[in-house]
Amino acid sequence: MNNTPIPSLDLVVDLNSEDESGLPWTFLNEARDPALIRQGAWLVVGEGTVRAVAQVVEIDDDIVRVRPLPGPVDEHRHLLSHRVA
Amino acid sequence: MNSEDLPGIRLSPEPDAPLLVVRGGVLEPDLTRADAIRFLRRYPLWGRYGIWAYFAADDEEIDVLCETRLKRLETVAVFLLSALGAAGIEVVPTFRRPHVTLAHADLEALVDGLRSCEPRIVNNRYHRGPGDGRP
Repeated sequence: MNNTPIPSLDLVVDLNSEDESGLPWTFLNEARDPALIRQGAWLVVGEGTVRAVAQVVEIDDDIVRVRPLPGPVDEHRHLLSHRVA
Repeated sequence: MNSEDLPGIRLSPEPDAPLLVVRGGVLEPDLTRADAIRFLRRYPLWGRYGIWAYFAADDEEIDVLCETRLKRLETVAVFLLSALGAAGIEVVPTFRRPHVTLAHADLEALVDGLRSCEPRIVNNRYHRGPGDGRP
């Protein structure tokens, strides 16, 4: 059994999603704090118990497109500078 | 009508006559509902609730999806295309192959229909991410 806590989400994203960009997307108001959503920002994304670190690629009006990284969140913790360790 | 108000539907036939549809993650009704509502909000002119998934012809293609597009997901749900059709769920090729949208005009019919299909759950052997879901 794994007791590692699940990191909180910065942005709710269905990682199955895709649009014409080929990238997962969501709406800006799905962010925990909209101020975190800037082009190039690194975030914890997912939904339910799914988590990934992703970079904001584009903000198009109220649509946010992200590029998730492979591997667990802990491998990319250094990218999440906005979070308290 | 702005083309971005509709999902990009592929008109060319699928090359491998897919029999299966694969969606990453757990089919939890509240999450399915939220994803489907988000879809309709994005594409209101299409008039359908939708969730995202992928075509697959066989277990080999499921494995490729698990290694690539779905590698952040710990499990995947595998549906028979015929079962989705019997449940009244449209399977629409959207955006880049093998991406599809599972659609229905009625939200609860989509959520209940997906569950009624009793998808096969496959553990993703390419997933890494103890404790943090399915990155």
